[in-house]
Amino acid sequence: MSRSPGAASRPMFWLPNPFTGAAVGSVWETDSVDVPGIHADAFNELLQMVDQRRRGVRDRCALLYGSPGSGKTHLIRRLRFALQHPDQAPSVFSWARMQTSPAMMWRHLRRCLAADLVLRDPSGHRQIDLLLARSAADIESVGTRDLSVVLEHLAARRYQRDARAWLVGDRLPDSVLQTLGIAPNEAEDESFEDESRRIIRDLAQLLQPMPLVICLDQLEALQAYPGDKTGLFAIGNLMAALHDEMPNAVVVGCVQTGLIDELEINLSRAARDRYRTVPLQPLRSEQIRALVLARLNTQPEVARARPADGSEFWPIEIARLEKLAASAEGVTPRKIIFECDQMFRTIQGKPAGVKSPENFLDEEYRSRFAQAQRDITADTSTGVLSDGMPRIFHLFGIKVHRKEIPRWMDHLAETPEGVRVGVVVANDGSHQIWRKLDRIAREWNPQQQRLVICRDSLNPLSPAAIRSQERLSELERRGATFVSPSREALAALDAARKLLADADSGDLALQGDSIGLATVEDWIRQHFPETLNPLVQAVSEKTPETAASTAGSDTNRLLRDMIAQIAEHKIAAVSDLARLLNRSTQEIEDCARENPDSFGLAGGAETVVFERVPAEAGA
Amino acid sequence: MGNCHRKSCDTLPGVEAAPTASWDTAATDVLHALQSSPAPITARQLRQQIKGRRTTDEELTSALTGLVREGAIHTWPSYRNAARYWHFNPDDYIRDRILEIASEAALSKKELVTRSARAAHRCPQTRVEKNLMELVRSGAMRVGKPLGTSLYYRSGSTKALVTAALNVLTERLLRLGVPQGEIPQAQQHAMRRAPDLSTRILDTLCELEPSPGAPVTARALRARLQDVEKMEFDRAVIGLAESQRVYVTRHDHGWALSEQDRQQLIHDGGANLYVAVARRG
Repeated sequence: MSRSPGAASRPMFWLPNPFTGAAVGSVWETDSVDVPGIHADAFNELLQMVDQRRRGVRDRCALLYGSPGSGKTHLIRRLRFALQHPDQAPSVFSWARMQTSPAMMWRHLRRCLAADLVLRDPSGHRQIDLLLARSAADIESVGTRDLSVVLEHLAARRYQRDARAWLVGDRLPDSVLQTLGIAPNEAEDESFEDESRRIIRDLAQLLQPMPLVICLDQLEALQAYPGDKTGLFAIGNLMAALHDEMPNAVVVGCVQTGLIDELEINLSRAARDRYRTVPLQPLRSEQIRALVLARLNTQPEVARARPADGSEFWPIEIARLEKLAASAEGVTPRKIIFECDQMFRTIQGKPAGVKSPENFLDEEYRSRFAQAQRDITADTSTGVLSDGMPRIFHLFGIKVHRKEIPRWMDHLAETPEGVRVGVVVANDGSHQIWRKLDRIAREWNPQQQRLVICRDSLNPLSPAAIRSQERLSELERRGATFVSPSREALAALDAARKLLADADSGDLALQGDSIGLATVEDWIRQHFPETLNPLVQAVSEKTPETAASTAGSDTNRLLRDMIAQIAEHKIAAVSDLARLLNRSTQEIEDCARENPDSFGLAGGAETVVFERVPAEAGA
Repeated sequence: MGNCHRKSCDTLPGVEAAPTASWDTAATDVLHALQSSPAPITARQLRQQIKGRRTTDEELTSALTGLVREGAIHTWPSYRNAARYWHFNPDDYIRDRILEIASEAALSKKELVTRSARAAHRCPQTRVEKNLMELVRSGAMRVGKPLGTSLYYRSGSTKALVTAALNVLTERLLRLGVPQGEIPQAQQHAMRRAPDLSTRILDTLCELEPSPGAPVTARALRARLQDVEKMEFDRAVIGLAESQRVYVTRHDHGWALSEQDRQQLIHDGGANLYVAVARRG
């Protein structure tokens, strides 16, 4: 592209802006502008921890405290770069953004650790190769038999894809498990959690004496809402368990300084003794200068365009930035970069338009929604439901309890009217779920609490699972409500929960400042996705009448059967479905029409029902 | 690049393509002239500045309109009924002037608005006042009311407030007939007698912080200074923060807490509640 006439006399207009992009999306990003002098003490402390652990010295976990935008994730990325430098003695590094529910934190951590292990770096290396280089005897001696078998497959380069899928915690068909030499898993949800915890411990043990660096970002996201004590206890439990069970683990947690008070009040002395705090202070004057210079140096054109009498910071007014450092709360790198971006744009004569929080949140929600539509699978949807439901319930004044509840229950909801509702996420395999349903039937007392059973449409209940179907129908007859969120509803829930978690962690920044959680909560309430209404209504509606409940049970049975059929066939003639499910064609059409986010209905020579799949999600 | 829609995009980035090449030249000239101008100028003054070029009035008007629409330049409030243009956003410029003046001296609203309007190239006082109130709401500016007079000063510029308050006090004492020579002596005496709460807070922070500069909760700090009234304690911590001796950490949902929990936080007297304090390194 050639320049316009006159461009040479005002080169600013054409210069690339070195101040775009202030947030670190992932620690695995490769391009980075780093100023080693910023948070150098904290960084050295972390490096020292890794070194100590390598020498077999045990120590507490580290909890990085900092304001939103202070550079917690950036520091973790610096640590990752340093540890993966060729001159550095080997270690394994893993990073998890803790946007999950306390009930699933070990599964989440296992998924992140396993994914990081098999990730290839730009030179083609995988961290798991450090594990697989261990002797066959070492691998065989791993405590969990299934893990040992899977590692043996990976070491022998057999069944790579299925072995990796097992390692991250995907649910595999019985036939695949059989091929791998693993017994079909008949365990219930809570056992998966225990199994994941064991697998992380065994992986750490196999690595010994090599350090396993586990970075837990956005720990506050374990809270479903501000003040959620279950989330706080989860932070304490997680740090304590990693510290106690894995001597070679270097655990680095990241939290906002704002959480310091709640952690101190709610965690026991024993839990607090398991970690020490590492503060990330706001920037000092010389750090601000170093940051600005580092950014400017990424674009040599800026230096070339500098007037003869311009300072090294040209075109940034450094004095204006230093005034920000004088404020009561100090200034963070994110804020400095934002201010520089604004100055640069203004001087270029193309100032950025001021975006309203409303528009900003709309964009952020849409991008998360699109991402979720692409990413959600039958293996990850349970986590979305378990973490997302309490977050959206909180928006409607529904309290959520997770302590002292039956193990089959994900959480206990309490409506503003004081009605207690047990919420079950029943995404268990079609051939295992009957056990859980049996237990619920035995232990659930409808007089004490209502019951909502949630099984999403990505985990259709096979019509062949007759025992499970019957038990589910029986529970519905007793008054339980069944809900089956569609893929679209799951994507909406995932987008909403991530938006809330990011806001809670201070990672939703507009104009250099974090958007408050209350603003995001208001926005979601005002733009509440319609597809999520059935979930909220299932919990907040009054006790269903028995007659209505019986009718509802029949309708839900049809819905479940249709979801399963369409998941298998993708498209089917209404008449075929009616014959297969022993229903009238009218019932089939009505069910498809009433659930437009799960099914599409197309006329023609013969009316057909097809699976409703978002365009970007693929078939 | 930007919103440039035309394929042969030899025009300003972000500026929608106009039908002729002469428009490009006019837009470039206008932008250059405005960027070199020390103040907003009228279309007539602009015409004078680029008179050497062969730009028609029509092209000039079209260039101005296009550049304003694209946000590359801004329309400034009219002065003597003539519209003015400049490359700075008038509201950003006004706010910078307010902050500049208020970091030097704490002033009454009227005085601050008058001085800022003058510094902002005669922008209307109503617009300056609107920007001032936005700065107050955002916390960039503060309002102190020492001795009954509301004084506006930039956050962190405590010295400006103290100087202004002492001037007001001195003025009032003089009006009461106190001899001028006695005022500084009495002031020094009072300072010596005042309990040094700030030093106590800093000492306690040193004792409580787990590592140098680590944040200490307001609750823990307060528990060690129970003999101090809450308001006095809060004021002292905020004073330390404004004089850059400590950092304070805002509680992001402090107002949603119960009254009892809120009492454990530090209130700056405005909209902010702080949960932790850390010594500045």
